[in-house]
Amino acid sequence: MNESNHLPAQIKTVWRISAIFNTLLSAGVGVAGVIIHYFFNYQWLLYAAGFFFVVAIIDFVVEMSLVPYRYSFWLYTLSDDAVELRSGFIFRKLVSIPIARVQDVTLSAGPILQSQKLQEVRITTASTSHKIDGVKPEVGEQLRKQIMKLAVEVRNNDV
Amino acid sequence: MTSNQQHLNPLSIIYFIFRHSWDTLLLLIIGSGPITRWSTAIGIAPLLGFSVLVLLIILWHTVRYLCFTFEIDSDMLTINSGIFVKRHTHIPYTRIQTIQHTQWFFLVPFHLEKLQIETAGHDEHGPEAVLPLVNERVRAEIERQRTGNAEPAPAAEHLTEQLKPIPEHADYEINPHELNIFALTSLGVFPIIGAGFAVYGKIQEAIPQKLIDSLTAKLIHQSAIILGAIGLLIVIISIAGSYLTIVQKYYRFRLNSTNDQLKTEQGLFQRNSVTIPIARIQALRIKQNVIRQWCHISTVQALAASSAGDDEKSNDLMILPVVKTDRVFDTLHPFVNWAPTHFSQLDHLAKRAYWYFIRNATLISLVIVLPCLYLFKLWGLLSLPVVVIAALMGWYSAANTGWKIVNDQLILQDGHFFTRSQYVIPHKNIQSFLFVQSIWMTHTKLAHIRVNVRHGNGNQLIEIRYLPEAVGQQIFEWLKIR
Repeated sequence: MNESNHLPAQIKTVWRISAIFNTLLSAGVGVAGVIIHYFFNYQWLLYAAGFFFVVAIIDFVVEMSLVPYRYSFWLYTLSDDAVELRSGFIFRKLVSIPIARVQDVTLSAGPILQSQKLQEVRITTASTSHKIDGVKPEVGEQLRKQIMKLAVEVRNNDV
Repeated sequence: MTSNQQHLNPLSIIYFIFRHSWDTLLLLIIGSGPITRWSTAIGIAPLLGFSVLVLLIILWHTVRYLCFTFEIDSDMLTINSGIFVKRHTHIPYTRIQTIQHTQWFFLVPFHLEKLQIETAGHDEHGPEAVLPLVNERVRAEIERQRTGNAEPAPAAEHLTEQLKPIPEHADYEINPHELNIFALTSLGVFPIIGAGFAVYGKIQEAIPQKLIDSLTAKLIHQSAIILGAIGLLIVIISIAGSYLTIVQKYYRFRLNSTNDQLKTEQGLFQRNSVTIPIARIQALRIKQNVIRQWCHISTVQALAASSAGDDEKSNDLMILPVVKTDRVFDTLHPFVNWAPTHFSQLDHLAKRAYWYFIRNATLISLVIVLPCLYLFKLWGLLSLPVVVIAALMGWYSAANTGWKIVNDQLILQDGHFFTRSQYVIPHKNIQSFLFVQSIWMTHTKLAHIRVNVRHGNGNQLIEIRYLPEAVGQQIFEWLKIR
């Protein structure tokens, strides 16, 4: 399996849901500001609330419209001895992490990812940390196996 | 092997108090009001009340001292500390990155020193183990355990001889003349001079207003001379200060290697020594600022997964503070056996790539210049030299960018703020790497290469910008080889 893969299509749903949550969070702070203003009548609270509402709207529009872009230009490749992450169209970035340098892999899933049956992967080397937003459980399992196999093979990757 | 718990030297109570002197002072200041009131209310002298507080503080640190113990076992070092929250830190000898010991001159007769032991763990708060004040014996014991573990079980009776091993020995001591040049060519003096001139400016601003109505032009002229002299004095003092700081810091710098361990020693008032296994060095950095480039002297530092070394913030482990540029690798090779034997002829950027460096640096400088022009109008023109300096900096960066693959090492060179750094990175120590390109660069056929190396508790990113796309791809493919 050496060809580049898109993230699973469900990730778009995950991003959209998290965009909505971020918006709600920001809007919630704004609403709280308005409510407190109702009781205490501090003028600056209204301005702050307005700021948070604007942030909420901008955040929502930007995140939502970027979802297809992020999806189409975010690719990962899992080869025998490296993980490659490719992202961006205007600013293109290709990261390669030799599996022999990987110290640990963390698979995690919050409620949103769980609802889509996905896992977030965090790959840590001695100095850097890289994230794959979501993969199917089989892929996570494969990654884990490969890293274990190489960790036994390669002994000179000590820092 | 001793496995009993040992205490620090009792003098470390003073060290604890000294280290927490801010807390102590704060406590005394906050307490001063209430103590005076209560003391007078009860009918005792306030001084007595204060003595009780001081006594309590001393008692607190004494308890801390009593709770602080360490054990040197056959395979790990254990440190127990804490009064209410008990902490036990276990450090296996094989995981130790660096052992650093510092000794103030007044502690030399007592054979006492501060020991700091670091592993590759990500502990942001400092070394994994600090023994504030212990006998020199302790370090000898720990080092013996460590080297003893690395080698195939030496007989117990030979251990004492191993403390002073002679084989595979290499020594280096700093050349006083070179140290002088090194101290004089530090760019660190410029900020100090800048600060001096800022103070000078402030004085000059303040003085005329006081003098305008009462004094003659002659007097003003005289005071200007005085002020000029003061300004000159500030410059001289700051140069001298910077010079003396550097000289005392690297005074009699020594480097020696024994049994695959590299040991540095430096300092006049405070002797500071770091021991690191050569195999733990992640990369080498050969650094020189523009003045040192003219003087043909260089600095060699090691990147390692430990924050021990030169400066608490920069984590740079000095290997050779100053050495003649043409002798760098001759001097270095006996100590670090994988170091190259000579400078490699690097590949450099094509002239057309210089433009991008100059453009970027100039654009960044506009962040300072445009607000200046907007706010101060005509006076803002004074900020224009910043643009020139920035452009020069961009040109310098471009001219000093270089790269080369030599056997299993990647050699990268960059220039930042008129300082050139050349990195020698063994292939196996590159943790991850990036190939970066913007959509416009796909047309100009240029790319950036970034390489990540472990340094201190974090990451050192080394970037070569605007190199030809094909070369970038070639380096990237080379990095991919397992």
